[in-house]
Amino acid sequence: MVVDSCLDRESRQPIALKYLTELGIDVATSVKLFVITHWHDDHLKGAADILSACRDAKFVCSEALRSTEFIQFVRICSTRSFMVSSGVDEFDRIFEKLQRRSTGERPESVGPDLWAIADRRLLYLPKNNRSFNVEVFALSPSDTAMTLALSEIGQLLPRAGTPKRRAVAQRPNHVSVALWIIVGNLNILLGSDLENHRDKRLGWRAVVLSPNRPRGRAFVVKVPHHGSSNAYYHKMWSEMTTPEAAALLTPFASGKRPLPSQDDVEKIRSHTSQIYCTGRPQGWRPPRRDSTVDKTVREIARTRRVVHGPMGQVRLRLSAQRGLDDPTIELFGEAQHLT
Amino acid sequence: MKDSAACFAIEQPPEKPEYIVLRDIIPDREARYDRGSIDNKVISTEAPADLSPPVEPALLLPGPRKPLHRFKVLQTWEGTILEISGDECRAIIRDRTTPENQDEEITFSIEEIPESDRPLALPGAVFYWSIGYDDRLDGQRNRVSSIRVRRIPVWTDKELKAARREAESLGERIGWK
Ligand SMILES: [Zn+2]
Repeated sequence: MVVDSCLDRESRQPIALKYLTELGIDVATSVKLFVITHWHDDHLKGAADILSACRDAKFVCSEALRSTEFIQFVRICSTRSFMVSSGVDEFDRIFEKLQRRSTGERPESVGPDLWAIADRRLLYLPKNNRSFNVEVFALSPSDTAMTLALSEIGQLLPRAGTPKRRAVAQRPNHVSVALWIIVGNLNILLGSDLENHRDKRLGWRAVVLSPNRPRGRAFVVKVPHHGSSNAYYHKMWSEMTTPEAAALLTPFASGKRPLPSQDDVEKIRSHTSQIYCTGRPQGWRPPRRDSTVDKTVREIARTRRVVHGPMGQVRLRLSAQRGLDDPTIELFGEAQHLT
Repeated sequence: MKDSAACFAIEQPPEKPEYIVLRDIIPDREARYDRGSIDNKVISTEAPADLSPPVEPALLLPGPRKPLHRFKVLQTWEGTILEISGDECRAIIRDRTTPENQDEEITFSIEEIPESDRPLALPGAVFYWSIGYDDRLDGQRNRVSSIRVRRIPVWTDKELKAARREAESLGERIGWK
């Protein structure tokens, strides 16, 4: 399965496709599930290419994105204004691919695409000829989140007489799809960008409280929302993860404060020392320019940073031969073990 | 020069924009740029806000008049406002002078945006930021930073209804409806 997408800096290919292809995997037939957790820019680049390459994969996204309002929002942003370079553009391409797939480009046997909602099983591969079964569940969005999201998407739509501004990412994110993966007797928690909410029917509290979620503890966690404090919920860690679980962090240099902050990391550290980060959270230094330009910029900009730079990867592998409980973790590029 | 009839023209060499020359021009150009008026005493050296990008198509008007100011452009960015909170604006800026450069995210005081443009400064609004020298005829040179928010057309009811119909039929074609 593939969850979300970003591009390789050099080849401009979706990084997941590049990786799987280099491993000799036939993505057209081997990828069973392609999940888009939400529509923000940093999770979507290259998603349409994945959708076309992974012919037999079911496409999964939150049901809120199926609404006419969301499709209208995407169409408006992509073709009818100056809105460029946001996740919305990529969604427009996704719609185009989905349209083609629906007209017979994909074998019937694959079955329909799936809408993610809390506690729904998205994939089940029984043991058969392998030594373990595989299951994938959505942990979010909750029903309440869905209701809220539908009205929020309605509010994104411009009204007549308002300027054709660009679409910029909206927060907070209630409809992000968090996932629970079961491999044999091991569990993996992918936290997507799901955040906390005062209302216990939303966010991580809703996930932890749900009586219907799959039980067990995860030994690997993709830390929610780039490790931000508003996505940290101590019960997610204490009730859903094993002590010393491997915490995988994806930094985010955009925003008021780059994520994760040192404080954010310390909170996670109270649950595990195995924290791996795919890059550097603080962003990169802007290039030098003409000295007059640099001087003027220093006078005007309060903060300033390049938000996209070289990335790294954290690879966690399980070997059926060696025993699934003995994972290996490898770091590539900018990735680091936060000690 | 008549106040209400004044407007900017931009003159630039065909390849790299070295200089933008500001001069007053004929009245019927005003509608196109919607820059309001300038008077003889204070001439704004800001790049015109409506021109996208500000250093794009050269509009060179023949005329005997000498340029009043020359704005030597050193650097231009196109920005998108991401967030306004309190007196602070957070934006992503794209380098138009050296397009190979990566986008940068910056924060700056809302005061840097001319007062007349501030009502337009909302998330999603596009602006141009130019840094350069303002060379005056009397030999004075000032370092100038100019942020102008782009004036953009508004949504019409007709467009929004058309988008709605399009979305409905797209949903059906995908098989979502
Ligand atoms: Zn994100």
